[in-house]
Amino acid sequence: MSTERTKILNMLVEGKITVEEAEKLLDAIGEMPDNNVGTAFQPEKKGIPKYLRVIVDDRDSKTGKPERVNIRVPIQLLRAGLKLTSLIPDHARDKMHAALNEKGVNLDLNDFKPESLDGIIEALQDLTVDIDGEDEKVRIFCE
Amino acid sequence: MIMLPIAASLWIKNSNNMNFRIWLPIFLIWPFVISLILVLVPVILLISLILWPSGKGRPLLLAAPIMLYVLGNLRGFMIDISGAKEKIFIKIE
Repeated sequence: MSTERTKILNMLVEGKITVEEAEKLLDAIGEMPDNNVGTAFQPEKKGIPKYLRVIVDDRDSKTGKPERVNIRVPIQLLRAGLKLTSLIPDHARDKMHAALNEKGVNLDLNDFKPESLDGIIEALQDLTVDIDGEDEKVRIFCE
Repeated sequence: MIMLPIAASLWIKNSNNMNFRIWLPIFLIWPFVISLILVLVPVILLISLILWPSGKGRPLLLAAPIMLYVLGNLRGFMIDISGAKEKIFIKIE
């Protein structure tokens, strides 16, 4: 965090400026080039991911030979899948929602809009799940 | 932009010396699918209109374009399961 931002936040904590004023100041700083951070160190913005990848490495319990599951799902297919849910009749959707609720999953497909999916897809670019077991290894990531 | 899948590869190998490998030129079926859709559109429209009051018309009307959208976005889908002697490989490109 730059010193200017720290100063503004300190002023806000001390009550010298209001939240609105702090917001304006932070916005103003955001538009200025940050002198403290060289451009070489700025994080590279990744493109929108195209695929969701699931890789599972395991060993055969009998022979001990390696086994691998490698699945690549296009992100656009997730979007298409969401559109497919619009075909589910309302009563079936309610039943599904109730069943998910019973399992402790508070997911309502009615709440999913194409705009919210865009946000999820954008956030997926930073998603990496790594599970390391003794013999098993699971990796989920976007590429 | 939707890029329709043009080919699919399927490879199944098991421990009983079965080794089945096939390459399917999906691009060959698209003209037939599109012709079929063009033929069916008036029929689907008519049935949808009849079923509209019961609430089944809308899903019926949307089914074909959504299914096409799903098929169109299958490009790049891949499943590769490799064991010591078994292998299942499906790739849509």
